Amino acid sequence: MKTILIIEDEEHIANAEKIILKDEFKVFIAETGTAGLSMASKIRPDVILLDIMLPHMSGYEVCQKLRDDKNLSNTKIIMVTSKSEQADEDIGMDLDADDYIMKPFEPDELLHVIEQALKKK
Amino acid sequence: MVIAQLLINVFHLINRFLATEGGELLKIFLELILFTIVTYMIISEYGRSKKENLKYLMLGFSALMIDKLIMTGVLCIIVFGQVKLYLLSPYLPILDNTLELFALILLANGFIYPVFADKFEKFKKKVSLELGVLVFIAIIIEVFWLLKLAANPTAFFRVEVGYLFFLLLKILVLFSPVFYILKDFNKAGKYATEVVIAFLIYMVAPIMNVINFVFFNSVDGDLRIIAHPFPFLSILLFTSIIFLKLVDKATLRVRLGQAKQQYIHEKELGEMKDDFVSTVSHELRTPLTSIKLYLALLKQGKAGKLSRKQSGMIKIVEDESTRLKGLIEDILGLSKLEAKKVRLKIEEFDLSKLIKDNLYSTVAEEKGLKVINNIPKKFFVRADINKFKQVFINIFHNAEKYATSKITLTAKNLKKEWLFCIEDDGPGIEKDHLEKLFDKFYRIEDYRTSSKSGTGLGLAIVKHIVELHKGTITVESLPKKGTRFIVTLPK
Repeated sequence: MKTILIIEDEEHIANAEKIILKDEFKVFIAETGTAGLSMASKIRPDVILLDIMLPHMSGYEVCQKLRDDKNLSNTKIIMVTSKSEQADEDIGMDLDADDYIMKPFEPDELLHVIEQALKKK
Repeated sequence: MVIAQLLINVFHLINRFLATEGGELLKIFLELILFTIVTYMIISEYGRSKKENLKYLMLGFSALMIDKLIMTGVLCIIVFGQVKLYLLSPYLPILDNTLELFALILLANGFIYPVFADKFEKFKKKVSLELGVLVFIAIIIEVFWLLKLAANPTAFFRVEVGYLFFLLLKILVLFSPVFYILKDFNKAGKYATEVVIAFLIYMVAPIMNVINFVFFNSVDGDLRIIAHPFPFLSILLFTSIIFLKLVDKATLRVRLGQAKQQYIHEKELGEMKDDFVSTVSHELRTPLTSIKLYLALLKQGKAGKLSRKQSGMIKIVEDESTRLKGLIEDILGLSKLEAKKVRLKIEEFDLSKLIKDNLYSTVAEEKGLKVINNIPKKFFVRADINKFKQVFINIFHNAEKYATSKITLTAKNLKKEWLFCIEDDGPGIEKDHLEKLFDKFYRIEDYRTSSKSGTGLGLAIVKHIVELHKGTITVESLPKKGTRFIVTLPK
């Protein structure tokens, strides 16, 4: 079973995502960027769902640090954004995120984007 | 008659006084004051704007000021020291005339600069040539004058050929700006007429002096007396022109400053608005994500099986949350379009395929509408595919809201543009509403339909997107006949 790490400070959203994903994936939740980074290096997830608007350390910084970690080179990063600014998408992609999904999304969209990210080599 | 005669007599008296050495001193002293003020004003303006024409005017007026300063000093010695002019220096008349001509060349070129604004190199060559010729002639006349003085120490420059040369040169220099301004009057800028008049008035004195010299061989005839006030009048006119020009510049600077402040203020407001919209959008999207996800989980039965009544209620909440999502996206989308923050990704695509892929609509199906797609297959256009998709969807959703039985889609490949139409057979729109149809939040459902769907932003977004493509959108409608939206995109 593939592993997914959700880095999301909104508890309700993180829990809803966990309910949606738990039948097909092993799901972990981290509420801050720092906690997410430490958990990621421990569990080496297959996919990280990374919220951009995190307290203290933004999703962009977390993404940069994850990409600097050679042990996580196979981990797919999906940015979860509530800002639809074109620049945000560009920054996410520049940081080598594999994909992004914009809030609010449907369960099917979430599953689809994870499926697509896992197909990427 | 008596008053007129009196005025003429006063005029003659003033003129005769101005022709005396004392009168000349007064006149030159006044000119010195005027030139000092004007030079100061121009130097201040040049220090601020560094405009090339001001440089020539500044040098010209400075040269005139120096000339008048020298001549004031000389005339003071003559008037108060009872010394004859020729005894002061053999160089003085040449220096006076050369300086005046030097100044007039620079002044003339300063005033005609706008005519040469796009041929600056040619202009610089012209000024250099004129000044070079002047220096050459001045040296020749000086040599000639020194030789003459050696033979006759009491010779008077005003009755010599060198003086005539200077007069003719002066007429030529003064005529030159009149010629260039009249030749290209539209380019000569504001106050061109006043400049021409000032140069023509200045020209009167040398012309009269030439006539005096050639025909009367006279130094102090009536013509010379009459000629006296003209350069002074011309100088007054030049001063007022410069003053008006500088006032114009100052006014313009103030206006530009105000406009800049206004622009900065509006930009800041725009940025604040963008930040506000973006933040509000984020703050609304986050709880909406929770609402939509939990609704989906409830529908999937993750919290137990739902009764029919519960399912019905959840459907209402779901529809409303979808409407809220649409509203947030429309507000953010429109805000970005208004702030011109949208970048178009222009590419060629098949419009017929785009329409076919996005034609399915539950609303049209529920209302039993017939959608007649007359768009030819393989109809390629160039536009931002995602943005154009939004244009189609927004107009189509608008049409399906009001259509009673059918919606017709057509497209034409014209010579210079692509034309795309969506037509419904609904109640139509009255003329008064048509003008406001693309305004934000403008809705006319109250009399056309009881439907509450729509944000009132869809058509405003469509208009922005079409205009961003440099295309047009128009609407034709007749009450009870239907409405047709026509979009054109340039090729």
